[in-house]
Amino acid sequence: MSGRALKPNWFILGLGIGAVLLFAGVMVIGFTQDPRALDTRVMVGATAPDFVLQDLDGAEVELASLKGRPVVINFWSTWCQPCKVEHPLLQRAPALYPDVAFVGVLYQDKPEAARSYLKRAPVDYAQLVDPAGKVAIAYGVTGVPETFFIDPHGRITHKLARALTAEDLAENLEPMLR
Amino acid sequence: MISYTTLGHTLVLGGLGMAAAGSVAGFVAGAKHSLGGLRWARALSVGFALCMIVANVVMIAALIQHDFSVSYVAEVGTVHTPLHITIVSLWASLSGSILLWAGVLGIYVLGLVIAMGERYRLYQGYTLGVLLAVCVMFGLLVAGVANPFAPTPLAELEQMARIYGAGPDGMPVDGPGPNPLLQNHWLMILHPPTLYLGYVGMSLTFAMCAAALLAGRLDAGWMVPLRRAFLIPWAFLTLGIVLGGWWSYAVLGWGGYWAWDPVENASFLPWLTGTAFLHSAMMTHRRTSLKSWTLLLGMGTFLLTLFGTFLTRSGVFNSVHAFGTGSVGPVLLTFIVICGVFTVVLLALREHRLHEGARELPGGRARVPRQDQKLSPQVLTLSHLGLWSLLVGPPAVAITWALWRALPLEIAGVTVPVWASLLWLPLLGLLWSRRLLSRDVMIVAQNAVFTLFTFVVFLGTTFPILAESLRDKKVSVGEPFYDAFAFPLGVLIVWLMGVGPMLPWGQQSIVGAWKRFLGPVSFGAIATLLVALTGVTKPYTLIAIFVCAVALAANLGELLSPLYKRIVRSKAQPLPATWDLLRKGRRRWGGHLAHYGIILCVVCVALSKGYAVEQDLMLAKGERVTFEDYELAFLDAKELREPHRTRTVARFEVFREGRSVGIFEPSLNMYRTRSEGLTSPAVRSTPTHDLYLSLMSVQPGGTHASLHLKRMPFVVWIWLSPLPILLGTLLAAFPEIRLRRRTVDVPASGEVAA
Amino acid sequence: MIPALPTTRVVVAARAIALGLLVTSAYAEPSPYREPLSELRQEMGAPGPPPSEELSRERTRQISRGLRCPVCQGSSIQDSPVESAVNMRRRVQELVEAGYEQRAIEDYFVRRYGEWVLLNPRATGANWIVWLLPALGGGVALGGLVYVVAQWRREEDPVPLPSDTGQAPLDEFERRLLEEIER
Repeated sequence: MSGRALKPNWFILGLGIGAVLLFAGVMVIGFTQDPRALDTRVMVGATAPDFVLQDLDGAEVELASLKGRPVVINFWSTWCQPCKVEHPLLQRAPALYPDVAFVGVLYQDKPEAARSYLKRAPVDYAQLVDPAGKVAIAYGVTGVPETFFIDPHGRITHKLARALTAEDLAENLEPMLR
Repeated sequence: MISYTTLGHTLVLGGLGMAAAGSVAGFVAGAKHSLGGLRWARALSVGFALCMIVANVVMIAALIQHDFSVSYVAEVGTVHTPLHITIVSLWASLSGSILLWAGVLGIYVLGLVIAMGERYRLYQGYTLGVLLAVCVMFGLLVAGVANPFAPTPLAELEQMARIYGAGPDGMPVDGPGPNPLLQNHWLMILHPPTLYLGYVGMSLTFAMCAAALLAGRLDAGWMVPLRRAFLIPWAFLTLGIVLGGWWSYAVLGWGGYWAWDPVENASFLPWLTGTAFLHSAMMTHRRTSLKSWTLLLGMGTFLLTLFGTFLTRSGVFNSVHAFGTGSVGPVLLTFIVICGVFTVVLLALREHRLHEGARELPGGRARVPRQDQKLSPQVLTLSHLGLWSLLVGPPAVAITWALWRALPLEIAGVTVPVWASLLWLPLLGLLWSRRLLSRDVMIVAQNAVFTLFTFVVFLGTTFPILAESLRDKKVSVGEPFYDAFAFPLGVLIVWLMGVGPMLPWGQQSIVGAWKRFLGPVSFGAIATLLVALTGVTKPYTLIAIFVCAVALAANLGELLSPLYKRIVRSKAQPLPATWDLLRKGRRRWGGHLAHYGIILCVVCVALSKGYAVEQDLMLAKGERVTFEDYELAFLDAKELREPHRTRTVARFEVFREGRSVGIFEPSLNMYRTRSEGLTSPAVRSTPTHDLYLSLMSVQPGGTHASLHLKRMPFVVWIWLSPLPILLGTLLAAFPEIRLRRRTVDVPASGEVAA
Repeated sequence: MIPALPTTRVVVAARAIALGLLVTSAYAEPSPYREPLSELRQEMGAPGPPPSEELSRERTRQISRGLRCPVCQGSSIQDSPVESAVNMRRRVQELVEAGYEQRAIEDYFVRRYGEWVLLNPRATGANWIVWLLPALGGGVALGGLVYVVAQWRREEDPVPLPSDTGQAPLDEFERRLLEEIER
C-alpha cells in the first residue's frame, strides 16, 4: 500500500468485524455440541405411557400391572452393537435388583432373531414384541439401546440413550428402593 | 527406490514452501511495482502448482499399487475394486479430498498464470500474493492435520495384516476399501470433483478482487479476466449442484433431489452470491458506487466456499453427507476468520479509493425522451403508474399470497402477510421516477434478492446451533422453513430475470417500455392459461409457470429481435447475420442461454414438486396392481449376500397401456453395522415423467413386497438444465480469449471493455 | 393367544390396513397392541369429528412433511423410506383419523421427541430470530435498493472513467512498464 494516510470506513469495519466475530462465536459454540445427540430429557417427568404387549412366548404384559414397583424398560435389538455391550449386565440385573421389574422391548427386529439370540444369552425377564413400533413411538425412541427408568408411581425419572452401565442402574434405582 | 510417503510428503512441503515464498514475492511485486518480484511470484506459482499436481499423481500411483504403508491407502484402499474406483478413491475420504483440493488449486493457479501472461501488472502481483497465501493455507492442511502421505502406524499395519492376511514382506495384502457410497453409482465419481472445481476456482475470484482493493482501483480492463476466471468455476459449481441432486435422487431412494440439507445448502450459498456477483459485475463500469459491493460479493463467494467445506468436514452440522470429523474443523474455522477479517479490513481501508475521480454530474430533472414527448403529462403519469404496477404487481401478489400460506406468524393480532404487503409500499413511493424503468435498477434488485436468499439459507443452516445455546433445546430447520422463503424469492428472481432483459440500460421511454413489456407478459398469460386448461390448477405451479413463461419470452425476444430486424428489415442473409450477432454479442447470448437453463430448471421443479403422485403398495408374489397409468407385477425377490451387506432385490415387471415396459429391480441393502436398511431405487425415466420405485420391505420367503411408488412429471429435464448454462458459459468465457489475442495486442492492463 | 408374528410382517400388514390399501386376507390379522384410548384422551384432550378419508390422507401428508425422521437426521417422515419413519407416518395417520388437529398431533410428537422433531421451527422464544431476521433482512434489502437507486439520481447519466474504458494508461508505473516492454 502506498504512503497515503489510512482512513478506514468505520461503518464497514465495525459491521464486518462484528459479523465475522458473531459467526466465529456461533461456530465455536457448535464445536461443543453434538449434532447427533438427541435430548434425553424430553420424556423425563412424564407419566410413562401405558401399553399391553405380548412377549416372545405370546403372554400379555401390561405396564399398569407393574405399578408399585420401579420399572426399567429397555429397548433393544439384535443388530445393535451397544446392546450387545449392555446385555451381560441386563442378564445379571434382575438378580441384583429383585424388587425392580425389568422389561425388554424389541425394536425393529424379527422375533426369531431375538429368540435365537436369547437362547444363547438368556435374560430373566419378559421380552416384548412391539408391532409397528407403537410403544417405541409412544416413548419417543430414536434408536437402540434406550433405557427408561420408571418410579413406583408410573413416572419416568430418567432416559438413557446409550449402553447401560452398572452405575446407571445404581444411580437411578437405589433412590427409588430406599 | 524412494517410498511414496517420502516422495509425496516432500512434494507437499516443497509446494508449501514455494507458495509461501511466492506469496511474499507477489505482495512485494504489487506494492513496489517490481517486475522482478512479479516474475519470481509467477515462477513460484508454477512451482507450487506442479508440486501439488504431481503429489496427486503420486497418491494415485500409491493407490493403484496398493501401497498400504501410505496411511491414506490403508484407510481407503482394497485390491478388490476395479481400477477406476481405485483411482477415484482419491476423494473417498477426508485427507485424500483435501489433497485433491490442493491439486485442483494447482491446476487453477497454473491456468491463471498462463492466461495472464505478463499483462495486468498493476494487479497481478497482488493477485498471486493473495492466491498463494490461500495455497499456503491448504498446503498447511495437506502437510499437517489432514496429511494423506503419513506413514501408516505399525500397529495398524499389523492389525490389517491380521484381518486381511499378510504377504511375504509382512505387509497386509488387502485393506478396508472406500466408502460404499462411492461404489454405488457413477454420479458419485463425477459429483465431488465437479463441486471441487467449482469451490476451488473461487480462490481466483477472491485473489483477483483482493488485488483490485489492494491496488485501490477496479477498471474494466481487470473486470474482463476477473469475470472470465469466475465464470469457469461458477459453471462447475452449477453443474456440481445439479449432479448432487441427481445423485441424491438416483441413490438415496427417497424420491426427491433437494432436501435443504446443510451440505446441499453449502453448495447453494456460494452459487447465490456468485450469481449476484456475475450480474453486479456488469454494472461496475456504469455505476462506480457498485464497485466495492461487487468486490464484496466476489470475496464473499470464496468465504462461503470455505464455509461449505467447513460445514461438510467439521462435524458441527447435522447431515447425511458430513464425512469425517477431527481437527480439520478448528483449522478451517481459523482460515475462514482470517479470510473474513482480511476481506473486511481491505474493504474498509480501500473502498473509497475505488470511487476516486468518479464524475458526479449535477442533478436535475431528467429529459423526457423523444418518444414520450407526444404524450400529455397526465397520460405519461398514468402510463408510468400502470406499467410500474404491472411490474411490481404480479410478484407482489404472488409473494404476499405465498407468505400468507406459509408463515405461522401473527404479530399483535395482525398476521404477517399484512406486514409483508406493507413492504411493497416504499417501492410504490418511487413510482414517479422514470429512472426505475431500467436494467440497472433490475440488476440491483436482483442483487438484493440474491443476497436476501443467501442470508435466509445461511440463517436456517446455522440457526440450530444458536438455538441450542440460547434455549438449551434442539431445534430443526428443515424443508418447510426453506420452502416458505424459496417460493417467493424464486418467483421474484425469475420475474426479474424476465423484466431485466426487457429493459435497456439507462433511461427508458415509457412508450418503448410498454412495447417491450406487453409481448412477454401476454405470452406468459396465454401460456399459463393453456397449461391451466390441460389440468394444472395448483396456484403455486401456475404462478411459477407464469413467471417462467414471461422470462422465457423476454429473453427469447431480446435475443431474436436484433436478428429479426436484420433479416426482415435489412434483408440480411440469415446465416451470416446470425453468426455476426453471435460473434459480437457472445456475453449477451451466453447470459440468455444461462437464463433458459434456469427457466427450464424452475418449471420442471415446480411441476415435479406440485404434481408428484405417491402411494404405498403391498403386492403378493405374482400379483398385478394399478398405479396411475401403470400396472406393476411382483415377479420375485431374492437375497444376495455380499461381504459387507445383504441385498434384497425384488423384481417387478412394469406395464403401460397393457404393454410391458421392462423389469425393474429396486433393492433394499442392509449393512452389517447400520440399523436401517438403505433402499436403492429403480427409476423409469421418460421425457414426460419418471416412475420411481423404492422397495420398503420384503416378507421372509419373498411372498410379499411392499413398495413406495412415485410418479413425477418432467424430472429428467432438471438434470439437463445445466447444459444451456454450460453452453452459455463457454460462449461467454472462452472465445473471448482467442479473439482478444488476435485483435487487441496492446499489452496494457487496461484492456478494452468487452 | 395369537402367535407372535414376524415383526416386519405385522408392521407392513398393519400399515397397509391403516392406509386402506391392498391387503390380502392373510394379513388382515388384528394388531396385538391395545391402546388405552382413555389415556390418549387424557393426554391429548377430546378429538374433533373424524375427517373424511380423502381429507385425512391429505392432512397426514401435510403433517408428516413437517415431522423429522429420527434416524435419517434431515428428511421428513413423509420423504423417508426407513421403517421408523413409516411407523411414525402411520401413527400420524391414526391420530388424524381419530380426529385430532395438526397442532395437537405435532404436540404429541414434540412431547416425545422434543422440538427437534419439527422441521418448521415454531415461533416461540428465541425461535423468533429465525422468522424475524429474514423479514428484517427483506427490509434491509429493500432499503438498500432504494438507497442505491436514490443515489443515482444525483449522478444523472453515469459517465465512465477514462480508465474504465481502457482508453487511458493507468499510471506512471504502468506507462513505464509498457515502454520497457516495447523497447
